[in-house]
Amino acid sequence: MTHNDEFIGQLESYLDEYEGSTPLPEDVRDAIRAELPSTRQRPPWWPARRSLEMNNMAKLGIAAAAVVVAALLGYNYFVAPNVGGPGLSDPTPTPIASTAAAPMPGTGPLEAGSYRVTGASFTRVPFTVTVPDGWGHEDNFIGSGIGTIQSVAFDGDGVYMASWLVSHVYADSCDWEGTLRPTTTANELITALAEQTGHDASGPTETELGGRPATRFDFSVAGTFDISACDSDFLRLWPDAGPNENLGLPIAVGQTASVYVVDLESGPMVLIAGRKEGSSPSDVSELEAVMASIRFEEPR
Amino acid sequence: MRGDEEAFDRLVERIGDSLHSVARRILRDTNLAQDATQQALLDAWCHLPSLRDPDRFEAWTHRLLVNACYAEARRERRHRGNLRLLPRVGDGVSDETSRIATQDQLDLAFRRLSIEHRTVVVLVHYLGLSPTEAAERMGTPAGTARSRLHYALQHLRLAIEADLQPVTSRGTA
Repeated sequence: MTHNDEFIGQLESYLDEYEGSTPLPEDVRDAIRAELPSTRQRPPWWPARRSLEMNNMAKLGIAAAAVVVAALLGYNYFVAPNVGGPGLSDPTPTPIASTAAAPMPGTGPLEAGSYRVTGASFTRVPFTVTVPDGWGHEDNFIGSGIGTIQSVAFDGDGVYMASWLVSHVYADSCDWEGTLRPTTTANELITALAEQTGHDASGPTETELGGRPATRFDFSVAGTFDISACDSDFLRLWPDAGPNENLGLPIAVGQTASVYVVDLESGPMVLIAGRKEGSSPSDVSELEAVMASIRFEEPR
Repeated sequence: MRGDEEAFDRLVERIGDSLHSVARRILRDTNLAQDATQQALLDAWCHLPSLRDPDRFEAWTHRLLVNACYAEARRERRHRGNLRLLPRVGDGVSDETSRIATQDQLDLAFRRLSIEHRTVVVLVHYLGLSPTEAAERMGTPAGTARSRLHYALQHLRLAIEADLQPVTSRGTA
């Protein structure tokens, strides 16, 4: 047996013997059983299921972009009126220490720092975003849930940001079945969102995001809203591009989605900042800073 | 729906102990481990319809558990004043045998690892996963998992070796 074998043997023996047998206590099982009836199971499309495409060539030249991101942190891009819950309006973003932007990794926790988001399925051009400690990435959602972002954001009181390419918008976000309308240009998308019904809405408001002019909407669903009258357990703003109605962006009861339509040279794209009525001010502050850190790589 | 709940309850009976054992080893805290296991199982219930390949169930639940452990660790960091550490293995008996002394030293060093480093050690050396499989459970690239494992093992090995070094005086000519 080598010295290394002996060490690994000691380690595995330690892990095997740690605390001995530790069955899950019955009261925890009871708590799980008790929560099942009130815990909704997500249909397969909830909310979106896509994987970020990592760009391994992205490492070069990113340090400079990260410095720009860091320097620009602290700017305030949230000028639209607040609709429900802790507002994103007129925030003072918390500066986040930025290091060289790394390619956005797969689903999981993120170390604090700047990341480069690519992936033709949900962003027209690469962009960088800076996140604080404790955030994570899941599909195309970046939020405070560390890998359970969608659960935390839509079931709990978490916050998230996401990017999306939108080809169709539901005319009615509540009775959404059969109400798709196509959108191609930024103006068509903005018009469709402005005319969308089923939720509380404010906007359009002209603002700026990622160093680009943007049009902002705030769509929210009050915590007292009776969702049972709708076609599903949540409102739907749009399906995935295509359209693929198996995927899409929902709004849960008590949730507000700030939607930014950015008209890039390569076409319109959408970024979303979501929070709940119960989201903590610190989480909302972090979300503000994350949104303020976004920078598109497309030349102006 | 009730049938689904009963079926899931049987699933909890089958995998609950295993998940809880992993969570305790990662988090080193009884209550945090219970909370993480409960959250992982509720997440599993919530998202079960989206699981397209039943053969992936075990890996999928491990992934949910790791995420829940990270969330609990993050919550614990925010409320460090309420930290509830388990008694260390071998407390009070560390000098009884060299094996217990080594385990005591391992335990001390293991607690000093970050949650990410403890996770990869538990996945590889307790569950017996490969570094690549562990990376999938942790949602990281395989290279990151290997790097974390290398660092963690080096840290643990040095901790044991340091304990076995004889104490010498320093600075003498």
